[in-house]
Amino acid sequence: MTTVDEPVADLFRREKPGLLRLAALLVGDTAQAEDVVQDAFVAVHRRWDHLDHTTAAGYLRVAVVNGSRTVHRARARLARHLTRTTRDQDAPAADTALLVAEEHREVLRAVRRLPRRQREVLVLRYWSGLSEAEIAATLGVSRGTVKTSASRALATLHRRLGAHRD
Amino acid sequence: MTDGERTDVEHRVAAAFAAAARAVDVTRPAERPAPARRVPPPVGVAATVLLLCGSLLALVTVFGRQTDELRLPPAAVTTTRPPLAVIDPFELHTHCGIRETRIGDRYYEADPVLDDGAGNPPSGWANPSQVGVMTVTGETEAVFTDAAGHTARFRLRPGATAFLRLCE
Repeated sequence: MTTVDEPVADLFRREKPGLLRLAALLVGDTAQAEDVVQDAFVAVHRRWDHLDHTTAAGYLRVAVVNGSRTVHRARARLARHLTRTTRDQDAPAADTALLVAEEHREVLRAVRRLPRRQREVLVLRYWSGLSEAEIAATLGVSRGTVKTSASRALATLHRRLGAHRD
Repeated sequence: MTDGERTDVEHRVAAAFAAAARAVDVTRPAERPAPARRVPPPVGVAATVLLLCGSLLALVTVFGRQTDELRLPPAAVTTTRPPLAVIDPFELHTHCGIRETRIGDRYYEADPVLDDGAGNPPSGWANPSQVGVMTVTGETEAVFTDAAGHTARFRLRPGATAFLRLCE
């Protein structure tokens, strides 16, 4: 029987680890990253017959980025209902944060304070290793926007982190 | 951009991302059991159900209403959601007993109400208020704790715009 399941299962096995890490970096929480990636694969499965299979991995990446934005929007909605929160809703979850060295945590905290698009550009560039063109396609923006976002993000990080380094 | 052209900040960002990514356990999802029945319905439907179960479980976890009927894959239960918000310090009004509270613009009822039977806080609680930490654990639940070991649980009153009763 010919079904979409085998190619989707192959895609799942191949892409899931990287996408889970990408989502975790974007949403800062492993459990929510899991949900984001699951939703992305469900979306791919539904649309498999209409997808260019050679670009399915890219489609998944876009779905993960969009899903991560949904998570942030949900957090923001909740935060608006709470007037005195002392916990940063964008902060990385404890299960992730506690397992990395303080030096890295300092950088991750600084990255979390960046605007959403700048964070996304940094993650796609320095974790996923995408080119400017690939990042632009993933985020649905121009290459110029990617370049500007990266430049501003790095400048901000340099100001925030530079003073702490010899 | 090649690695050799990277600045110090870029190196630090890449290293931090790599370290954070390594902390993510990616083995667990791959080990999720497949549905036991692989005869009709077709494999495609079974795979979709498996994927949907993960999302459904997440919703169940959020709202804390997992039921036996769902029979979800046990591997997906291993993650714990972080609290939605932590308010520290939080001053809980206790003068007439622990009956209700407000978090942001939302009103909550104590579940159960804690008092001494005479309209005062139970023995050991400060009066008129106790300072501690309020943790919003779900969309409708919150828990107050303090350094003395007290715990008070609260449930959201959806749509409420005022306290049920005034305590003076």
